[in-house]
Parts: sequence; C-alpha cells; structure tokens
Amino acid sequence: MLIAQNLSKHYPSAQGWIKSLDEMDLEVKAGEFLAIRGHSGSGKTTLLLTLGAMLRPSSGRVVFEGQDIYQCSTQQRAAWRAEQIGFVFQMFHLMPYLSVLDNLCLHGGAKAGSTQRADTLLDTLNLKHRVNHLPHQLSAGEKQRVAMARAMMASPKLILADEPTGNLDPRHATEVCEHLRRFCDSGGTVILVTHGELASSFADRTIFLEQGRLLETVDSHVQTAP
Amino acid sequence: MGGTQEKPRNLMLGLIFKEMWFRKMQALLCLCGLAAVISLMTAYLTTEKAADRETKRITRDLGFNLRILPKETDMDLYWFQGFSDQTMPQSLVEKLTQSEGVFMTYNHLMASLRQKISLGNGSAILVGVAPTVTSADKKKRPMGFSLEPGTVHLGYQLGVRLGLKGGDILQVKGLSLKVARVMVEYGNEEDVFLYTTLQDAQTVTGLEGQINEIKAIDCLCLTADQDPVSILRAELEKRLPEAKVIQDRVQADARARQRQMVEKKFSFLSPFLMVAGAVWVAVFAMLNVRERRSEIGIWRALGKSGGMVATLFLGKALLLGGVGALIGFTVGNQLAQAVGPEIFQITAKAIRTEWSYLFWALVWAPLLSAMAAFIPAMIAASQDPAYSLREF
Repeated sequence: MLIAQNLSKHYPSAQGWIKSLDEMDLEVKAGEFLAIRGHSGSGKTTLLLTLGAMLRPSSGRVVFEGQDIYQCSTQQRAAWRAEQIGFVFQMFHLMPYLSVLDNLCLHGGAKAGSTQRADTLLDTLNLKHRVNHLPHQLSAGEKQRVAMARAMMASPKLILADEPTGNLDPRHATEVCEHLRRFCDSGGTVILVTHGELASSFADRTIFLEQGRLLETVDSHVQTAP
Repeated sequence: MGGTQEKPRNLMLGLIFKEMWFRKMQALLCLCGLAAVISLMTAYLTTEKAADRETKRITRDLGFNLRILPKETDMDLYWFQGFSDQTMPQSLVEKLTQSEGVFMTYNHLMASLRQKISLGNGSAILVGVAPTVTSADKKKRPMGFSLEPGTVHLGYQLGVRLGLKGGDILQVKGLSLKVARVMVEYGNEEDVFLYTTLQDAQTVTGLEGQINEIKAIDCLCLTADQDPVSILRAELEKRLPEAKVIQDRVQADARARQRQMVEKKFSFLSPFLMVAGAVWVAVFAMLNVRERRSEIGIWRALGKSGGMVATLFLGKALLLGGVGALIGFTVGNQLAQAVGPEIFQITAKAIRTEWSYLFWALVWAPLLSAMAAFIPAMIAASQDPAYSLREF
C-alpha cells in the first residue's frame, strides 16, 4: 500500500547538515498496524510527516498505491491527504474555537452526511455528551478521542498518529490504542509513532529507528527493546 | 446525538466569526484601532467639509466687499485721504437695492458721506452714515453702531483735543450736536473721525442728498470662483453710470491661503493616520498568525490549500475592516456633530452626516485592513505544516 524507497531528509544547521532520515526503505501493507519507535531525534516524526505527504524528502520516493506522491502537485497532495489520510497528534491540535462537532466537520463540513458521520464517530468513541463542548472543556483523553474521530471523518485508508498517547494516562492511552486497533481491524492502516511499549503492543509490527536509519523490525506482539 | 441537525458547518464566515469570538480581546483591540482611525478621519473630514463650506462662505463674503464710489473719483486722492473728492446722489442706494438679485446680492449696504472739516484748532473727518440697508431676505442685524440724529460719536483723538466727553455739546459749523460718546482709541484714522447721521453730515457740509461712498458688505456676487470685478463694473456701468466699484480682496486672499494651509495639513496627516492603522492591523495579524501556527498546520494536514488558509486571515481582516468602518464612521460622525458647532459657528447647522464618507470608509477600511494583513496571511499560507505541527 505504502512504500518508502531510499528516503532521506537532510536539514541544514549551524553545525552542518543533519540527517533526519538516511536512505530509509519501508513498506506498509494495507490493514497493517505499524509502530515506529526510537529515541528523540531518531527521525520518527520526520518519517511520519514524509509518509503523510507533509514533508518533501531530500531524496527518495514515497509511493502510495502505485502513485509517487511527491511527483504530484501541492494541490494534488493536499487533496490526497484530505481523502486518504487521517492525522492524530500528541498535542491533539484541535481548533480551540470550534465545538467537538465542528472540529470533526472540518473534513468536508458543508458536505451532506458529514454531521451524521460525526454523530456516529462520536457515539463510537463515547463522546456523545461532549458534542457541543469546546476543546478546553475536555479532558486530555477526550481531546485525543476527538482528534481520532476527526482523523476518521473522511473514512481514510491510512491513519498517521504521532505519539497520540504521549499526553495520556495508561487507561486513556489504552483506550486510544484500542480504537486505532479497531480501525485497523476494520481494514484501515495505521502508522503510529510512539515512545512507549504500550502503544506498540497493539501494533502488528514495530520498527526501531536510530539516527534516521532503520535499526530493527519486530513483528507481532513480541518485541524486545534494541 | 439525534438532536444535531444536518446543515452546512464550518463555512468560511462562520469559522472567522468563531475564531474572532474565541480571541475576542485580540479582535476587539484590532477593531478599536481601525475604528479609531476611521472615526478620526470621519470626524476630521466631516468638520473639514463644514470648515470648507464656512471658509468658502467667509472668503466669498470677504472677497466681495465692495466700495461703490462716484465715477469721477480721483483714485490717487482717494487712497491718500481715504474718501472720494466727488459725490453722488444718495438715491443711488435705492437704485442699487432695486437691482438686487439681478447682478449682485448683499447683506449690508452702507451709504456714507465723508468730508474733511475744520474743528477747533485742527481738522477732523466728518463721516455721515446712513442707516444700514440690510437684505430683506436675510435676517441680519444692521452693522456698526446706531446713530441718533443730532448726536455725534467722537474719535478718541478729537475727544482729547477738544476736551469733550459724553453729554457735551459740540458746535460744528453752526450745528449743535450732542456728544453721544468718545470712542476708544483705535490707533488708526478713526481716532479723528466724527460720526454723525448722514443727514446731519449733509447739513454741515451743505451737500444735501449727496454721498461719496456705498459699501456693499457680505456681498454675494455671482459665484466664488469667478472674478466678479470686471462683470460688476460692466453691470454697474449700465445701471449706475454715476458710480464705479472697487473690491477689497486682501482679507479674502489671506483666508484662502489659510484654507489651503489647513487642506495641506490634512493631506500630510491622513497618510500617517492610515499607516498607523495599517501597522496596528498588521501587528495583530502577525500575532494571530503566530498564535495559530498549529491550527494552520492542521488545516494543511487536513488537505486544505494555502489559499484557504490565507482567505481565513484576509477574510478576518476584511470583516474587521468593515465593522471598523461602520463603528468608526458612526463615532466620527457623532464626534463631528458634537464638537463641530463649537468650532464652526457660522455653518454649525451645516455640519451634517456625510454619507459619502460611509461609502469610502466601507471601501477603504477593509482594503487597508486586508493590505495590512496581506503579508501575515501570505506567511500563514506558505507556512510549512510539518514544521508548525512538530513545534507544538
């Protein structure tokens, strides 16, 4: 489904070029739950954003269902993101001035059926009672579930989650991971960046990064730290 | 959940309103700045318009102060001694009033007879003044002081020289005149003037039925932008062949220069006001962009274009500009109505709501606001979502 070939991302700095991704190869199958782990600065988020058509790599290709996404125009990539990808971030990134329902409806708010879809998702994520609340009125766990619901609004094929459990207690973190797992089980694909073992325990496969390179791959739910 | 209705959500205007409501203090401050600029400009322009009307009026009045003199007046002598050496019939005043509206209108017509006379050990200028003729359609009070027959108003110097005071009797060429008052020292030729009624002056000088000057004051001749003298002279030639006309334009020119100075001052001030408003908006727009970096990142992550993001910021600026124009115009107009009459007493009632300024405020304020927010909006639109999302 998603293939990264020879992916590199370099940033200039005062000390010279920083290799955030270094000739990385990766393949993610449809319906797979992939966890990406590594120390801070290992390139996890850069990889995630590059896979999500948000960050053009310095070299290499990202191919989604046969299409090299960085060969597309900016507008095409934006449209592709809107239709195929849902993002979930550690800091939730909800619009602070919009209600829970309005945050969900950012995805095609004017389209018929979007409110109904939002209703269903909020019901599924047990947020029915928070529909008209603003983000600052929600708990961290609720915020993250709203962010997940927003990511799922456009029925994407792929969810890219950047440390979605980073700000949550274990109970809420588990809850979020369970929802991601469920999304995967229903045919979706998840790529999740995480520091902790809890989130990766829900993944089918975990890859470990170090200095922008793929260090190790661990399948299924039996992993050992590198 | 069944209670939620299916209706279009998150339309652009709705998003802008919600964001403004959420950050109301920021929006309010931005709005205040814009409204202040617009209100100052509206107040200034409204009062300026009234001032312009008033200035035109004053200029016109001053500009067309006329002196109608006997045709044969020796002008060199006239300027040397301050009055004509010739006389003309007093009936010309009546003739002139009958010509009113034909080629000139006026607020006051004053006929006078001036002659140099011997008085005591020296000389004096006898000035016989006829009652002021005011235009019938204008509710104007007669100008100058009122003179009773048989009385005299003495210039300061004459009073000192003759040792007279109010109530004393003065003999002028055999005619007894009661001194109504000795005037204050003016420091000009009036200090040797002896004011009497025209009739008394005519008796003293033996020039019954004669005058040597008619002053047309606040004369509204033709239009302000035309030089009326040549036209008036031609008209006067036909209607009052016994007279000629001169115009006093010194004050008019001074007033016109003063008006030009005010206009220049505003043309100098207004760009500063506009720039100040633009900077104010730009600062808040920039703050807004910084504050909403993660939001911008999310918009882009959700597949929204940079144009849509820019529209959010420019739309907000336009909206603030529009509301600022409405508030600013209302406040500025009220301000002008409140303080205008204190400043412009002649045209006080003419200070009125200038609706054309509302139109221009509604055009310029949003435009100014949008231009000020343009660079911040472009920064927002071109912001790399990956960086902004990673930073927060």
